[in-house]
Amino acid sequence: MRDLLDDIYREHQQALFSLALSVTRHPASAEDAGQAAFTRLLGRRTPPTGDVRAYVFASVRNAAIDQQRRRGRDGKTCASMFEPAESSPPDADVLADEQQRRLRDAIDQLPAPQREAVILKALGGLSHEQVARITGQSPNTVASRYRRALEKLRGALGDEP
Amino acid sequence: MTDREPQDLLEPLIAELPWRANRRPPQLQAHDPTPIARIAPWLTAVAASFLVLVGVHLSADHRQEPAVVLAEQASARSQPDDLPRYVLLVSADGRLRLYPVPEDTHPKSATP
Repeated sequence: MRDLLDDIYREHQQALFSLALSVTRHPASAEDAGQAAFTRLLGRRTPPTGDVRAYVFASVRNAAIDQQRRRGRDGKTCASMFEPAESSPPDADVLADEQQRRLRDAIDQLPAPQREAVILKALGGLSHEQVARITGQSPNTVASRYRRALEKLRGALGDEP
Repeated sequence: MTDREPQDLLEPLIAELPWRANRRPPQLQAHDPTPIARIAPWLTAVAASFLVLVGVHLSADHRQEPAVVLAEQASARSQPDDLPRYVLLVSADGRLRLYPVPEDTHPKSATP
């Protein structure tokens, strides 16, 4: 069980943390959520059956929701899901940098359910079915949220009017 | 992943963004139980069984024949030549009670 969890964590650590951060908007709470979820998973006497990957994501998401409830409205939240932008070197691709900045801002401004769908789909590489299982929504709802989110992101990049 | 759906062109761009990183990843290896932790459930079970056995044994003892004399009656201390007529005992229900020493077993009553 530990090896399986280890593999899932290695493969999806960024998506798992981003998912928790998307819920809490507080890095330390997102870290706590990951720790709590994995401690609980490792302490299980019987391993989860079925889609373990989706189960791990759901556990981290639930732990993040718990953390968020515990924190309430107190404390500072981080505005962005991304690392603070560093100053670009002189030979940097200015166009690519600008595109990336727009994409980051657009993701930060997405409604939480759409951002969650983007994280789980684009970053975690999960299917609509898996995202549906994790978030407790129907696959159609997930697909629709994801489609709307991508439309907004394309719009921010200037790909679509 | 075999069940992966067709990728949107935006997905690689999204994946390459500088997402905020986890500075304190979960300790997956630190959870390895120590030898004590591994046998703790057994120890607990053995200790619990032992306590139950001791409890049953003591209850049985106290129902039949008091085994533990904790104190003597004060009047006995005032009459050194006299033997205690009451003993403080642990009763079957676990409480401390004063029991009279039966007359026929009291050495004084046996004296002609």
